[in-house]
Amino acid sequence: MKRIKTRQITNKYTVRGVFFGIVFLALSVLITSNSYLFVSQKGTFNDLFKMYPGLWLAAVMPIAFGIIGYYLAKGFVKIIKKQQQLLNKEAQRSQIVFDFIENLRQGNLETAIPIEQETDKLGQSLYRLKDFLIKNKLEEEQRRIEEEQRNWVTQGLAQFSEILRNSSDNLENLSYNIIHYLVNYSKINQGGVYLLNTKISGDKYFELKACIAFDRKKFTDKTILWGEGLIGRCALEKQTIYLTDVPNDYITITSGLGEANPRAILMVPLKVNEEIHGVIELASFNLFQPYEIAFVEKTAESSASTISNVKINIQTSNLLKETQIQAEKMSQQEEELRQNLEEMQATQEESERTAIEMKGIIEAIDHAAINCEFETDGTLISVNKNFLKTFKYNLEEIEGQNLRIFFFKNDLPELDKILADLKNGHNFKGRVRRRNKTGEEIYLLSTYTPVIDNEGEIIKILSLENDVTDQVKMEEELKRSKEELGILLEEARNEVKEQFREMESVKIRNEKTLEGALDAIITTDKEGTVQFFNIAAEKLWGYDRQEVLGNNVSMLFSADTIINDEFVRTFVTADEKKVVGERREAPIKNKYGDEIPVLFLLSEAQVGLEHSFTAFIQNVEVELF
Amino acid sequence: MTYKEYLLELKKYSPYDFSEYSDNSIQRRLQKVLDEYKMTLEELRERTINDNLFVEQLVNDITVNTTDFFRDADIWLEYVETVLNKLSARQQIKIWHAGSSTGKEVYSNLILLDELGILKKTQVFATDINQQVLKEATQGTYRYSNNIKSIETYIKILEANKDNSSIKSINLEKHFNINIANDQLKVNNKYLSLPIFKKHDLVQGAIPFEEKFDIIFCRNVLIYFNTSLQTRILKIFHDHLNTSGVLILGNHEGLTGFFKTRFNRLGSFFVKSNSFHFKY
Ligand SMILES: C[S@@+](CC[C@H](N)C(=O)[O-])C[C@H]1O[C@@H](n2cnc3c(N)ncnc32)[C@H](O)[C@@H]1O
Repeated sequence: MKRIKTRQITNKYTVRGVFFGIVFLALSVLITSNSYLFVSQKGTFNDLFKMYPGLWLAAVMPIAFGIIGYYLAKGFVKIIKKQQQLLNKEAQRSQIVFDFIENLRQGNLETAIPIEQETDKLGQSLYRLKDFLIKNKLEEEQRRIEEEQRNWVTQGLAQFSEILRNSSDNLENLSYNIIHYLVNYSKINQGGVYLLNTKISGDKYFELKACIAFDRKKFTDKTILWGEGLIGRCALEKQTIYLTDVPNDYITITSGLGEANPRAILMVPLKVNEEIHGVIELASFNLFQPYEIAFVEKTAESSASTISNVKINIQTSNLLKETQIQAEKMSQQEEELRQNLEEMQATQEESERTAIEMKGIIEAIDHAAINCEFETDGTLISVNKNFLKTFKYNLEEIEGQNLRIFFFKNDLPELDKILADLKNGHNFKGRVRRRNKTGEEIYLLSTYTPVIDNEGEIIKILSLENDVTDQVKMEEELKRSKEELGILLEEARNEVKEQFREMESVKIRNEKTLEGALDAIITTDKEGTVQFFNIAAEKLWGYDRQEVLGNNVSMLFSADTIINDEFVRTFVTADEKKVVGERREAPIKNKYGDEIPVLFLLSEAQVGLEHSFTAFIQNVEVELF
Repeated sequence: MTYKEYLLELKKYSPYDFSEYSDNSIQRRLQKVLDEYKMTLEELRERTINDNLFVEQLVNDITVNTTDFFRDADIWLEYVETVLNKLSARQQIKIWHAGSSTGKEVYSNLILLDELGILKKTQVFATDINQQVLKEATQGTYRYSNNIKSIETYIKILEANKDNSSIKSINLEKHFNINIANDQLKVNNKYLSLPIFKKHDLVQGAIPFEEKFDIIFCRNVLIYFNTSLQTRILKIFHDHLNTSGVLILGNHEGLTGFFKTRFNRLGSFFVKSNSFHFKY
């Protein structure tokens, strides 16, 4: 196309040159033809040329101008071509720069710059641009990562502080929540929280309060002494310890893949205001990033202050509990004291009750008994009115006297014996004879009781006595009359005995007679029990008397007879009025069940309160031979 | 409503009869309860009728459970010499603590039986009306600070009477587990299972065991009863004692009514006599 264009240009300029030459020729002809000279001559056209030979020159003008135009155009075309080449080159460069920038825009920072002359200004600035962009991008990447890490940390801390806020007042739970969160959030393999504790002895030690997948080889128990091992060092230095070169026997991580040594261990002290509360230990298969370490350190800080708060809370609540217990104890003690007082009061009242009772008894004794008190040697200490009345003394007369004055001379040895016994703590009880002021003898029923104090010493003897003189006199009288009576009684008894004997023999005689009678004879008592059954009766009934005696007489009759026969009914029934003194015929029933008609005659006898009935029975059946 | 009327209501609506308790004492205890619960007798009656648990609490509140290890130390000396020594030849010894409270009296006794080597053949029953104190008794755990003194007092008295007593001293550690930090004094475990603790109300008469006893302790219980109730309780004891069995009452308690003649005195104790006749 550009070619065509250049030809067009040469053509155009050649044509324009030819045309200009023609115009010049025509003008020249015109001018010359109109000239006076020519006009005046009136010559032909040829004449003109002859007249003006210069016209020949004018006639070649179109060719000349055409050639000039052609070459001029050619020169132009050459310049244009050159110019166009230059333009093309420029355009090419712009395209490359454009592509490059486009690439940069799309983020392909690694594209090489295809410009040979890097020294050229554009190249250089492009290089600078590229470097700038690369740097920018790296920075941006870095910022993004940092931003992410920052977000991770902030989010983590926010969640963590939520956990701390919601923590109960229980160190185990709190520790577990802390380690659980740390291990999960940081995607660590295992971890534990050691809290500092103090023994009663004052020794400090670390106690593994909570752990996730923890398996310490070296420390089977969960306590570590202050300053011992890495945990101890971490606490001692109050510095984070980060280990990537983990000793083989330090810790293993147990996972689904078995046991393995961790690649990194991180220990962070739990400290508030430089005070150590414990250590967090984390173990991982991955290395810890600095921001992770920083995160753990931050959480450790807030954990420590929460732990310290919880510790204080626990202490406070313990204190509170203690105070409560104390208060409870006090109210318990108050109740106990009150009960003690009640017991004392009840005891006192009971004692008073018995004291009143005692007083009553003592008053009664004073009224009823002869009472005195004396010392162990017999010296009187006190006496009551009854005493004075019985012995017929005035009080003044016996004050300070000895018991002896109430004894008959020959009774004195008895007194000494009694006093000796009393001194040994024995009581005395018995009937004694005493002498009153007028020298009469009196009889007393006496009890002497030693009164013993708490030390077991006898303080005095208490004497209670009853005047039984009358009784004694009466008894003596009685004894005498009893003796008389005895003789009389003996006589009477003998007489009665004799009578009994007689009665017995009469009875036997009678029974013998009855026994021997031909009539059957039975005797019953009031109740109808058979008392006597003679041989004739045995024959009649066929019973042996042993079978009948002691039984009720109704066994000797049939039931029918007992119901229907008036005589038999009244005879066998206790308390019925019986038919006495009249002969009556009635059937008896013998041992074999046969009924035999017989004649009865019933007689009644009374000895004292004892009624008895005797029936005489004759067989009316005529025996046929 | 008077407190006496209240006691009759209590008797009507609950198994408990305090109507024959000693007037003054029961009145003071009831007053204390009223003060504590801020109630009138009428309100107390309402609660009593409608609330069984409250009644149990009331029994706990009313009863006086004062007791001690080796309470009245002298008595225990005398007890060892005049009662236990005589029984030591027996095949078997049966003892009843009536109104045993928190069991200190029971364990005091067990310790002495142990010291004399006759623990094995002894059977010990202990009763109280108050469920709460019985529970404490079965646990045998007491406050060290409150009890150590009375035990030490007894030990001192024992040691002072070395020459004429069968038990010369008592080793604290042998009979008690002591934890001073917890203020705890626990009787040796071997004693815990020995006594049979049972809830029993003396007023109700019927005894929850068939046995007759060689020794009955009923110390500082009768002081809370009026005379007629005392006499009734004494009859129960008399009925449940073997001939020559010993009744041990509190220091200020004595026999009432006809029981004065059915027991003989043996020092501070009462021995059931086999004679029912008044001895002149
Ligand atoms: C003051 S304590 C005596 C404790 C122990 N016997 C002593 O002397 O050390 C009285 C005890 O008797 C109990 N008690 C009161 N009335 C009772 C009853 N009707 N039946 C059984 N025990 C009763 C009380 O619960 C209390 O524990």
